[in-house]
Amino acid sequence: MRLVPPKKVLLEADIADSPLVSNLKERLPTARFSVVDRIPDRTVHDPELVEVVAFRGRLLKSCPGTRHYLCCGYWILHFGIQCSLDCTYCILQAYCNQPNLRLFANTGEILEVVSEELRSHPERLYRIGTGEFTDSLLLDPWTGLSRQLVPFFAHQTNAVLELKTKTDFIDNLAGLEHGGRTIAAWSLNAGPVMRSEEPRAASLQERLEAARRCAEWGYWLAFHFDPMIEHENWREGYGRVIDQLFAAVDPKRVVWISLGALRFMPELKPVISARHPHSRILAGEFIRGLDGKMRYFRDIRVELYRFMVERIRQVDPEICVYLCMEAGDIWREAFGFSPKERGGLPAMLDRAVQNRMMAGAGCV
Amino acid sequence: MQARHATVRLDDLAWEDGRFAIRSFLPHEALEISLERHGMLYPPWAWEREDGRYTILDGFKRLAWARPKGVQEVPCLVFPAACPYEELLLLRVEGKRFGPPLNPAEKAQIIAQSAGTLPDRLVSERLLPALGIPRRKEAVKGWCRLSEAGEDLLEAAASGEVSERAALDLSTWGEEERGGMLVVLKELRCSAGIQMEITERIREIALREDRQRLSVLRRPEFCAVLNDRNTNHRQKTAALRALLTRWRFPRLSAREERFASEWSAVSLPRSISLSPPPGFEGEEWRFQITFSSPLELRELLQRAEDFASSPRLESLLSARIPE
Repeated sequence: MRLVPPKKVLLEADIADSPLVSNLKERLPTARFSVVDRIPDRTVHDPELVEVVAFRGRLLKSCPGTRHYLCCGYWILHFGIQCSLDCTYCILQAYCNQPNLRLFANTGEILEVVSEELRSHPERLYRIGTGEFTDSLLLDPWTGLSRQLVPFFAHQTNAVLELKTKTDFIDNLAGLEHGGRTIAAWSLNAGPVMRSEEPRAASLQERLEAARRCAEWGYWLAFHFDPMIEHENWREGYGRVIDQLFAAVDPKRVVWISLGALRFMPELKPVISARHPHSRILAGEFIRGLDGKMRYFRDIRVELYRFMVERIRQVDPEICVYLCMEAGDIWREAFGFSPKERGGLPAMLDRAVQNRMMAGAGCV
Repeated sequence: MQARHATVRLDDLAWEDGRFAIRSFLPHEALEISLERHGMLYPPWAWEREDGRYTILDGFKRLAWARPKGVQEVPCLVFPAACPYEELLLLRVEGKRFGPPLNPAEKAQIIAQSAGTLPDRLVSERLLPALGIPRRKEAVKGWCRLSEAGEDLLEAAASGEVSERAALDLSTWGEEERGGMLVVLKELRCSAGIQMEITERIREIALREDRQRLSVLRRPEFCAVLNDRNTNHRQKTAALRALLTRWRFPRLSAREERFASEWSAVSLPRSISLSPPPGFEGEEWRFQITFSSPLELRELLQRAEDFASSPRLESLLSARIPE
């Protein structure tokens, strides 16, 4: 995957001397840095620009979930927003008032907030990820953020960090003290979907090669087939990716694999139509879900999930496979059980951490 | 911008200069009748030129009516040559705002003329709000495209046969498929919301099946509904919506049909009904009993209990349609 460094960095004055900005200045010697008091909301996207601000909201928050579907109980560490990979289905396209890549430079504060939260509930096992509002590693070559986060989590007894990406920007992870507490995770899709809907992201081969190298460095791995997209010959497409995945990495290094069929807020539809007129993803059989999002008609979702579960189980029946934001009826049809019968979805994932990673043993 | 009232000779008008022309795409017999009866009640607007002639700013139809009548001079509101074109363009729009509502074809022409002339900020901050158009980034491009989408679409939009939203959407279609869609919408005479639903369905069916939109419009089943002489436009609209929904959502439709057929085969009294959740999403099904006496309720409850214990209920709840 080709690295395209940002050409412009716009800083807010109160974080202009932060370590993150120092890293950016060192690693982006040709970029033009400018400082303003406050970066206003914008409507025009500038692909060459990165904005750096002090985030003033909640830096660590639990995944919002919804009462209608089962949530995995994930925690989101908010270090930036937006992504330049421009995948056709991406929810971030709807964030029209902040179209540019934006990083939060108050890294010290971010880690303090995490420490405080982890100390406040030592009995709780935290699964924390940074890839919700941006790609975890897209800007890492220039921010070096992983070099702070990974060693920090290495010393936490009740938390694991998941870095979720569609890139192969893993060089910063080499040689870090990770303590077996960091999961390097990739979002995967069927080949035709990756080519047509994620054209700027790393290729499947690049992602799997990056995963293989991370496993060599002792990192745990995870994979997310999300969003799964129904397309012509989807069984062949997804089946082939499963084969390639397990040809590249040892299943025993995989902590979990998530599955989630494409879903989107109705407001995103005109945005996708306008920005990606040739994409066929909107032509699926969508209904309005109980949470108001558009999702494939349930029978289609069940088929997608069943197929994947069976294929993964053939390789390793012990891998924790889970559905992202689905209800008990879909679980029962795809897996033959509902998470409620196994203590709930968060508990299932906690057990995956404890059993595979041997982490968080003291947590309940 | 000091305008003055002056008499202008029609021979001095630059008829070939259409920079301010905004065609309504509507018949104007009523205006002609009024002109015949009363003449011009308000002066047309003209813009002085350096060469001594005048560019028509407003009043194209009235002046065009006067010309073959042998009228030599017309009292006009004349703007001096020093007035900037951009300012006059905005003034022209301002003058139009308080007359009869502008139709989509007129709006499209105004925006297209302005977009090529006025600074983007002026278009976005003054022109669009004046025309009642939301200041979205893509709006100007869409309206400019509509202005160039051909007389048929502009006429249909101006007359209201095609709604503003549908016209903007159809302006992105190819010429032939747009023509086909215009025939459909003119025949159906349906509301703006339903026009959008139909155009969207056709677009998505074509995308889904990797076909031309025109091929969807030309399917025998579709044409049969459209050309049925025994149904009115409301019945045709209902039938076409149902057909397009079936094509757009084949598996959901198949599941609905199967549910309806299986439920019918259960042969319970009509006072008992079973409804799946909308789109079969979720686990909340509704079972309803309507009764008029305790005895009837007891009998219906017994029937309901027998049904609930039978494998048919399980089958109804889980009848997935394989791909």
